[in-house]
Amino acid sequence: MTTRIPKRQRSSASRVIDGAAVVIQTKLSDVALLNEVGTLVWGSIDGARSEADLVALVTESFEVTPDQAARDVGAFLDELAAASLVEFAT
Amino acid sequence: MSAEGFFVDLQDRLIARHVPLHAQFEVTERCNYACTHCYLPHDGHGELTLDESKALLDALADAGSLFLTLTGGEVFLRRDFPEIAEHAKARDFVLRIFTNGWFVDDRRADWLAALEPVGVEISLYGADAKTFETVTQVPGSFDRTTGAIQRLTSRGVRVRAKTPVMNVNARQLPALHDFAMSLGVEEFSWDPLVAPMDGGESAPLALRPSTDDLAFVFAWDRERRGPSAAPVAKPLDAAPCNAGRGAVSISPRGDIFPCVAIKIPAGNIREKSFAEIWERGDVLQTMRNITISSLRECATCDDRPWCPRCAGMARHEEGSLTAPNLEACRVAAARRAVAEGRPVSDEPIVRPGTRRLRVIS
Repeated sequence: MTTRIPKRQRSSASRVIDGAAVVIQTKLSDVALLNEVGTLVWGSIDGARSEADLVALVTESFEVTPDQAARDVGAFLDELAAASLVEFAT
Repeated sequence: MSAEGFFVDLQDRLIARHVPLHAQFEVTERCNYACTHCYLPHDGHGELTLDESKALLDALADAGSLFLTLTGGEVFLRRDFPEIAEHAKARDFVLRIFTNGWFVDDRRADWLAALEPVGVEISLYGADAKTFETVTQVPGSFDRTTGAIQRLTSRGVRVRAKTPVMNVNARQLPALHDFAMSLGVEEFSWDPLVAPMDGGESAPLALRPSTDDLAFVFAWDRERRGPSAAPVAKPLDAAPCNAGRGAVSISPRGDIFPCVAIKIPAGNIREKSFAEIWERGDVLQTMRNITISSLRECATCDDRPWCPRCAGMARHEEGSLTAPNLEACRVAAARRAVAEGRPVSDEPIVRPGTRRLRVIS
């Protein structure tokens, strides 16, 4: 799973306000407000970084074990994909 | 809480903190249509360069703007408009584009579909060429505009067709609605207010619908939508609108306004940063201090829940951002009378304290 490379959907839009990302799926009019970790991950999705890169970023930035970071980032990316906010290349 | 409810709550909190969540950028004043009701002069006084436009979008994003409307004039009269729109997309705005459709051929329709804006808005003034071109004053414009709508909707672009209600199209509104929907638009919207031109020139006011016209369109709309609860007035300590609080408008030359209808410059981005203007601009401070209770006669008016009052129109026509706008008074009275099943009165609207008392028809 960690070889996945997430890319933001073109129909997504977002803005970081006061350190928290507001993310919108414009086709579905769905809105999410991300927490600090989610904001870091969302802001780092650039179509080049892999899931493993994002896990490393979270591990470096927060007090969390690599295993826990991998589980959390994986679940978060799955949620973003289910909400049509990201798609994956491998 | 539903996503929609959640966002309204979030939006209210951000606007209360004066985050310019909604931005409108007029990329040009130039237009190839000569619409009789248009508020915008098309003589043009220069435009921001592409680099300046991109820097503006960057500054808006940094200030927290999320919803961006790119409008004109006609946006495609700027050759670099695609680059401006692509930059907006790259900066993660929820992007909406206003166009008259004239230049939207297959190539531009493909580009717009790939851009994936949240919506494209196109004015549709009539259900037939004669009515439409009476407004645009450009032969062939009906076919060009309706062709553009079809090109976009057939590519999955979400299009909203819209029109002001004027004396030339008011009775056609039901047919216009059906025609617009037949073109595949997602929504057809109409506005009962016709505003004066920027600078106060009053030629568009001759197109205002009669009170009977207003009664007709409100009755049609009521029948179409079915019975609904009476609207609720905002509390007295609420802001009348978001202008200067959570909304900002930028002219082609970089002037910062509270709203596209309130052309009082707070500053120009060629002279100061957007952040500085947004924080300190005089007119923005003024707008942020206006509440419903500041609106004198309006605050106690029984028609307030039905009223579409616009501060910009009040300034143009009554000389004050806080005065009642008599045209809005007329529209509110008609809308309320129809909602309550009463005959719509054509009597003069007289409110104590207004600068002008007159019959509007």
